[in-house]
Amino acid sequence: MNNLQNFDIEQLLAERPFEQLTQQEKDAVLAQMPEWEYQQLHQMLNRSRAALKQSPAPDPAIRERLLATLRQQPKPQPARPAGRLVQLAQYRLPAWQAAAALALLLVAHFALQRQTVANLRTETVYVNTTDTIYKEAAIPVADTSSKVPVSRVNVKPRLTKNIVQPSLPTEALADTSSRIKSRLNDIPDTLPGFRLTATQPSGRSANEMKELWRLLGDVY
Amino acid sequence: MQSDKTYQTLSDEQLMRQLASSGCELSFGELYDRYSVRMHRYFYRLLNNDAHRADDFTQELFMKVVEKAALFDPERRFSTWLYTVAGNMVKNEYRRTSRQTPPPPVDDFLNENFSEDHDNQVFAQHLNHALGELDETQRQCFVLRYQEEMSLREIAEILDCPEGTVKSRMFYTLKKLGTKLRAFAGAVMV
Repeated sequence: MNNLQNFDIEQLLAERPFEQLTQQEKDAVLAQMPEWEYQQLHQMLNRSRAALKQSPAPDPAIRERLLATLRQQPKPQPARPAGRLVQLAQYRLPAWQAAAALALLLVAHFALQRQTVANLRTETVYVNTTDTIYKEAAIPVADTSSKVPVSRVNVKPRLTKNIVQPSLPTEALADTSSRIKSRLNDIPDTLPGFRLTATQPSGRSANEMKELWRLLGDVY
Repeated sequence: MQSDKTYQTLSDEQLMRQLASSGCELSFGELYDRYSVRMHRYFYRLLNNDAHRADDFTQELFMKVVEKAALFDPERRFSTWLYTVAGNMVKNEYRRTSRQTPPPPVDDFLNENFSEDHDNQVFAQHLNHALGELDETQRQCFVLRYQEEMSLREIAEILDCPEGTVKSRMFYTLKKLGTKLRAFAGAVMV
């Protein structure tokens, strides 16, 4: 408010003497300064304006010197029209648009991630792998073929000789089986150079797989 | 090629655009003719009525116009830009000399021979002394307002301060000058 009054008075001082002011303007002026001071400042401003106009002219040589300098300046080159790729690379994007695009990408990423997780379902399944391992073993058996009368033999001895029947006692077999199982539990899933897999064909001889044979040797 | 008369019809900003884009001599010449006297007078007043320094500063100012034409923002008024650059040059000079040199002695001033009336010469001398005693901002405000006849808004833009600040500065500058010139004013004005 005070500033506004100052501005008004400054303008009045520059424009009119005290006598030409309206009553309202006079009141505003008298609230700031007495009448004689206003008159004095008004006269001072009028004379100052005239005095301030008096000044020497600039040296005429300045113009020529400046023009000579301008002639020596390299002429600005007109800008070449940029190609489409350059224009695309130079395309200016407001910062808020870039920020909005980034925010949108983040939101979309998290939304999609959540949706994928919702589609997954965990189920408990039981996987059982059964394998049969054979090991060739020589065990003593009673040779009854020589004591049986030939008349009672209804099969050819040569044929019966070739059939080898493993006849381990059931208890021993059970014990061996449980021991193998317990040993196998101790063996890591992956062994160097050999990996036990559920897809291994059953019934193959261990002789065909040297690594398995070595493993079984280690187990026993 | 446009004629000199065509250049006279162009605005300051258009001339600056031409100067920046093609280094047009005629554009520069027209700008120089429009502003050189005003700028010289501005420097003369702010540099304690030193005509030689005013010449140097005028030349340096227009050299900046030539060299920095490309930096001019056409959205801005050329006159405001020019006075801002000039004001900064004066500020730097005040800073460089660290204190303002006193106004020239009476004899030097009277030998200038650019005043018709003796009373006016004496008043002008006192006014210059009084202006020399003001601080640089108050002096700049007063010169811009009453010598260059600028609006308060333009002054605010040049001095880079709010318009209200310029208003109050102007009022207190007037009161200060009134006090300094009171004795002289009584003898001459009455």
